[in-house]
Amino acid sequence: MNYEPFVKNVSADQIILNEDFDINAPFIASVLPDSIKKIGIITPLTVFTENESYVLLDGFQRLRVARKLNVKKVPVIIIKQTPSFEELIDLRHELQRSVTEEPNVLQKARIFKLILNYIEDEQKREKWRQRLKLPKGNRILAVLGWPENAQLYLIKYHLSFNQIKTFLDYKKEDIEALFDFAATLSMRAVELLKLSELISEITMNEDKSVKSLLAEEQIKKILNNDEINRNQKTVILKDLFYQRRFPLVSAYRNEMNKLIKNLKKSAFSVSYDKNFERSGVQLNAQLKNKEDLYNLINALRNSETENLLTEMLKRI
Amino acid sequence: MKEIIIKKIYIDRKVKDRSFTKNVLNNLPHTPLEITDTAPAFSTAQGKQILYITDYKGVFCKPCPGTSQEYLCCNYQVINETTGCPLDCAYCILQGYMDSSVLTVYANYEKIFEEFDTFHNKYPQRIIRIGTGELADSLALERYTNISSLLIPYFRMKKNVFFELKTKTNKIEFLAPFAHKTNNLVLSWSLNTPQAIESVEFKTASLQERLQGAKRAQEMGFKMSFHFDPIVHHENWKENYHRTIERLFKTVDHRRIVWISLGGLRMPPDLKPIIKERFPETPIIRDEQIIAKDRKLRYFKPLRYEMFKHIYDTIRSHSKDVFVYFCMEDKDIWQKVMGFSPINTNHVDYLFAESLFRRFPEMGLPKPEFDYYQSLDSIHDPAYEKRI
Repeated sequence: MNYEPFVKNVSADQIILNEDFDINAPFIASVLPDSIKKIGIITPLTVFTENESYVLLDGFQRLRVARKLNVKKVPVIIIKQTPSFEELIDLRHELQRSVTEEPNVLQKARIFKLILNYIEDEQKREKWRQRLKLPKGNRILAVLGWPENAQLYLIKYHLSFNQIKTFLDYKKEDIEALFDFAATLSMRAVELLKLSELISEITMNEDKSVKSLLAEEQIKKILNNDEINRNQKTVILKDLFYQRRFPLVSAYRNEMNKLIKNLKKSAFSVSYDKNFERSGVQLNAQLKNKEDLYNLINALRNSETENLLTEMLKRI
Repeated sequence: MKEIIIKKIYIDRKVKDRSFTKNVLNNLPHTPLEITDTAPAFSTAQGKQILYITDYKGVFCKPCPGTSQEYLCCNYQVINETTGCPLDCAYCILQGYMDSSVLTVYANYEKIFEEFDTFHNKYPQRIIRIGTGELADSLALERYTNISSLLIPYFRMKKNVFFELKTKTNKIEFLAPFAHKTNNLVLSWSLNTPQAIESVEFKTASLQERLQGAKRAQEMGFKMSFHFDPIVHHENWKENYHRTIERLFKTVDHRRIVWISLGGLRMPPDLKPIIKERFPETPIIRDEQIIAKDRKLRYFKPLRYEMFKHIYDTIRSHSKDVFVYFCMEDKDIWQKVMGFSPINTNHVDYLFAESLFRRFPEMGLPKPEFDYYQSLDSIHDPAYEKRI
């Protein structure tokens, strides 16, 4: 696009604000009012001219705040030529990339919504999909309807569409419950993603909603237990969800763990593949001196140890 | 089984005048067609009714991709003469990794003969098992493409070769011209319980239809093989697999069965969300599967063992001699289920050869030597990729 941008101060009322082009959620700029009140707008807005009006392309938050604060004149960069929709989307995308290297999922979803609204050519849409690294289908637009707690979480942890693909089909109330749950435990993204995979499969298998699962008495009891810290709660819940999703594997693990518990472990420790895919058990011993060696030999000669290890091998 | 419908044919401009293309068009005279310079792109579901004819740019004949060397394979050779399958099984791997979802057949199929000649000449002493059906059902599109009819006359002349056509259909009447004069053709059915077929193998022939197909193949004098793969865990699986095996051995003479494979349901983790989206009600995404050593989702090993043991013992109660093997299983499973384990993939290949040599003396196969098979290239030989 050939254009000659220049900067000047124009009346805030002269600018047309098209919500379609606002790819940032209003709530993320809560600190703006104070700053504009104190020092005014430093970074000019970007507008283009259309029928002798100015149409806003970038600076939606700033303009909203300026109008609210009754600021009369705002600095703008004016693109003198009316761009095509495709050029507009391109500009919107590039303007965002100048602020953050990679737009977050909400911004990407908004850009994609623009593309669906303004570009009909399927191949051009596909090129954009690739440029934005979006998965196939239009399910990604669901994030735009997510509750505020979930959207804030997405932004905070900069989650990708690939990471949240399981949630895209969730109902709004389930999303709200899931991200409330994450907030209660101050759960980091990696923890939430692991747990949510189990939660998703349990709800699918048991044909119940995420909201009703997380509202179960047993889970609420753990969440409300003041005697354990958030890390302990996360571990207990993960274990609980795992047992519920994989009862057979869990039963095998429990049996193995019981046998290990019965071993006299002073001379060595025992580990095994928790998925039971690799055969055998591992004995780990640290020999610092001869006494350690004799202890290990005696432990292995012990018939009780032998029986327990044999039992373990049968289960592997 | 449900009728396979082709709604449109796309023809790569380069192949529009080839005899293969003309034959397909003769077989589908009323189907709309379009000459194109680019491969058509459709969703997985739509693509199953679109036929695309083009040239294959890669190698048609190659070793079965198998899986990581943590599991034993068998050195089977595959021919990718068709890509894409109209049968739409819920667990199908093609949903996950095919670039294009349309049914693609290749007009330059004659390249298969050159490639196989090179391979065959390299191993004069080897008993070779090769087949179609890796990236498509071997027979699902036969009435439109006639590709198997084009391959059989070539392979039937090859010594020490077993040519396998793998299917879940029952459409084998086209084989009548080859009846009683093609001793190295193996008609192969993937078998499952009626319950599993109904819940995950949509658009395929029923068990009854497949067994009737096998009976007809036997009447035509062909050898047969059966693949219990994927074995699907479901309610009453024990009883259901038991009955299925009983029906199999009541229908066909076990002496005509060249091999039977057992393989548990397995899939790359990325396939699961695709299955979930396309077939949300299917039970196969609900079972307990763990990430195995080859990074695929598999049933938990003790469960796999229980299923394999039951099925293997039932097969053995009907035939002491038929060759039974595991597709992509570890040595432990072989050992626990069969009481022995091959030392490596080449050993499995040798065991095949030994069984075929012993059970089919009329074929005049070369006597397999263990050391010779150990010296062969294998997909699990780290230097193999470099050598080819």
